[in-house]
Amino acid sequence: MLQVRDLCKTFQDHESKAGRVYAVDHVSFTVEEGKFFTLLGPSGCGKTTTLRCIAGLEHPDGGDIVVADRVLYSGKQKVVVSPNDRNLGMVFQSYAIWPHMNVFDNVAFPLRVGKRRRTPKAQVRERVERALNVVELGHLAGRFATKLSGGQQQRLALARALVIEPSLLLLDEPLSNLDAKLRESLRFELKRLQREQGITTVYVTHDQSEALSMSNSVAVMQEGRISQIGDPFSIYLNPENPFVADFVGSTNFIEGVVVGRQDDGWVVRTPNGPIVVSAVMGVQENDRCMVSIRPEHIEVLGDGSDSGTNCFSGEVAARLFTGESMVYRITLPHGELNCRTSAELRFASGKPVTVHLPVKHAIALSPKDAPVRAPEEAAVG
Amino acid sequence: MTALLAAPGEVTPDLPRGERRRRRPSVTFVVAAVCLLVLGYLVLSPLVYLVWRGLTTGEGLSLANIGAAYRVSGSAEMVGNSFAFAFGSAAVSTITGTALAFFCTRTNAPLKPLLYAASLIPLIVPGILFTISWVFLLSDDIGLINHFLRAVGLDFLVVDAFSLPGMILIDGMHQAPLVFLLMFAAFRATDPALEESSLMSGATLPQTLRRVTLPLVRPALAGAVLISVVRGLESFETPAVLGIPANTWVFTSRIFQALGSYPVKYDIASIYSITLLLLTVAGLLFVQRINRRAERYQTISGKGFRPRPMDLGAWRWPVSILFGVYFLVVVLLPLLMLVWMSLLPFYQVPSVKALGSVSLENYTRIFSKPGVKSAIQNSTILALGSATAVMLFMSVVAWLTLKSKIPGRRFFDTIASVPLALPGLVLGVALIFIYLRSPLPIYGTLAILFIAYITRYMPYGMRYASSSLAQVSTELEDSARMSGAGWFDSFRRVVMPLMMPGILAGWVYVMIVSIRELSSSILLYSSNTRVLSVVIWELWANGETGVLAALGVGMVVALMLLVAVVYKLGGRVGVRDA
Repeated sequence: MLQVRDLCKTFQDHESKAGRVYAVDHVSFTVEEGKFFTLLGPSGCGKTTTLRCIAGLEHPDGGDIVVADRVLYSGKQKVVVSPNDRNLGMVFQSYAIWPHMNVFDNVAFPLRVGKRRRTPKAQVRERVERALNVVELGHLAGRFATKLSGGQQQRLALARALVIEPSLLLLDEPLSNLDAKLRESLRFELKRLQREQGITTVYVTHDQSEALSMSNSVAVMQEGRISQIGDPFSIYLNPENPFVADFVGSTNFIEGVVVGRQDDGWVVRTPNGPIVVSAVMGVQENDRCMVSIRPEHIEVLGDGSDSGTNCFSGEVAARLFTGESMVYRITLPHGELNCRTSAELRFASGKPVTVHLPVKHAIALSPKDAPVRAPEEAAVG
Repeated sequence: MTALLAAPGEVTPDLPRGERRRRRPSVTFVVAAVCLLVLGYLVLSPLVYLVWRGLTTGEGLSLANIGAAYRVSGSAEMVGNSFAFAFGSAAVSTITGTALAFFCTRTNAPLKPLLYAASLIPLIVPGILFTISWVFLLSDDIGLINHFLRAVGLDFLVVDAFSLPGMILIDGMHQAPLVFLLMFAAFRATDPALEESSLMSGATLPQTLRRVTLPLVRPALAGAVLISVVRGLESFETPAVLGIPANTWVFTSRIFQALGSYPVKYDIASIYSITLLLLTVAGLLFVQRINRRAERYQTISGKGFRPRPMDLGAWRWPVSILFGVYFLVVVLLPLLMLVWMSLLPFYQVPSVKALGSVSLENYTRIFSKPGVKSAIQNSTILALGSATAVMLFMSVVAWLTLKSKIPGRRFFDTIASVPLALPGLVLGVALIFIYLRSPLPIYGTLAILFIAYITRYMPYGMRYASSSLAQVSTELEDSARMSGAGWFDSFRRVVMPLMMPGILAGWVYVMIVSIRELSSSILLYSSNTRVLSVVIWELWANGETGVLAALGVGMVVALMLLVAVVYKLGGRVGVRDA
């Protein structure tokens, strides 16, 4: 449906020596018909620029963009289709609802301009009403757009994007301007709409839980490159590098050296003793590595059970009660670990405890200071 | 899930055929090119012709004209007068304008609303009317104020309007509202917490004023002084009405005289015009430099703060009386004098006896004067035409400057701002030079006035258009493009409506200043293309003060009604909140 190949976009930067910096650096991905694809990353990672290149609002410096077998941009073939001829729907971060029009006129606008300007009036009415009903705003058609609440504006923007029956729907952080409760309910709403309409969607967000909960597949971006691409489970459970492990969810890193294989995994030597990990990513025997384990996977046990594999004794340095869980900071002989346990488990500060790092949740990654390999051609699992 | 994402390598061994269209220049590019051509023609051609005319004689390129122009007797005195007049009136306007702005923003003195009115109304009253009504307030023999001062024995305060001090005083009062507005903005932009923390450190109020408040607004103050000096150099009405009879010449009146005498002294006019232009350009470049430096002083934090007014205590009422006097002198007295003049068949100093001859005869006589009707028609056509043209053109130029991605877009703003430094009289001189020879037969038609007005008021239109466009988020336009709208559709149906409040405000402003315009029109009109300000000038020259005043009152009332109606309407266009 959507193919992006070797997309590049540079900006002028007077501070860097080359004079130009890559905002989007040889990015490639493919989205199949009807799927929900998310570009996830911190601000400035190039995700919005990538989206705007697909939209045609930015002019890329190289690469190809193909939607439904139609070349929208090609650096080599010198094809540039202007944004108004691309037939894509887009929802902007600010919704970009035109304040001088009412709800109906906002949605009808795309049918009254450009190539669609000859749409018969009756058909305009029918299609606008259908689009408004899809987002459940049918009863507000005559209202002024500025009189809508944030959530309603967001749905109005969606209706306007859908009314042209676009080949691709582009969403630029559409939920980021809403308060937390509304955001959660609109997540379900958006997912339902996307599935019902069967519309191929590219979604941009910096919110990892949004990305994980809504997508069929996620591309994590860092400094203009795709760091890892895959379905939400593999992104969360099998991060391929420390950046993804750290950015998607939170994690503990323990430095060590891979020393050898074992029947149920690999052994990593660390200052606190050997740790058995279930998998290694991008490292081999005798390589320095980072063991990654998520706080919620660590088991905190009472004192005295310091015997099994991956068990270490430590001491509670601090604890935070967050309501749904208890977060402990535990001091080991070398370094610290963050652990999240159920709120019922209460250990006072200063209490000696034993932590258990389950083998199946521990993985060894290539160290942070090594250049992050851009897995452009990485097979996705 | 794996099927979802094939390895990119095997996706498209060869890309499907793209739409190969004829390579044609993008719409934005064409629009930019047209705008650049028009801007360049309007702005650069007068400058080039002026310099060309000044630096050539019958034998070719030479500097002989310069020497000849400055060897004319009285030219040294003229230069001295020009500077004395410009700096003097700048001093008057800066001192009054700044003091009033300070009291208005920073203190709890009552009667503040009077000051807002006092800052707006003089912008509406044409300068020629203001000056003429002051003749009847301040001239040595018939001036009302001078009569009053002599009557109460304050002879030493008497100033004659027809003298350099009189010119300075009257022009300074006309400029004061401009300084007031500039300084008002500056005082409003300074965080009062800076003053409060000075007070908390133990400084007294006068110490705080001297050591914190004034230094903070110093860049703005310097800018205001320079702008007033430049305006003083450009000023035509006061030197023409008051200076010529008093034989006190400045640049503008000399240029006017050179072109009005026989044989016409084009060489002198062009050399004086170039000199004046160099002075105003230097002044405004200096202002720009100060403003750029001033950005470091900026204390605007983005979040709005309402300055907490200082308590003046016992001084509240004396300060308010000052406001009242200012309002009386700058707004009320000139207008009342105009009304009084319009009611008498021939001028008499206001008295009970004179009340007997009051009549509305002058108002009925307006239309019997030859040329008045066509002048009203011409002024209306020109004002509507130039306001509409300026705002439409500048909306597009503002869009190119702020929103387009074409290289060198900042340049548009620079060219459109050049006429700020172009005195009206100088522009008139330059346009005469161009269209006397140009194959375009517009000399002596309304078109030449139209070109002059558009050129002069472009910079103001640009300010209004770009400040309102800056508030229109780019995403609003992007979403129109994504909806399938081309450049023209998205500009007309999304960008323009959202800019409407600014466009409308600019439209009113350009209307008003076009109707007031005298200094270019006086050089460019012909017997068929008189405009209102020119008719007033001619009535003044013929001594028909009664009809002049009646026409003036009509003009002021019409302009005020226009402003009121448009601002009333302004609430209903553009973005609707209700």
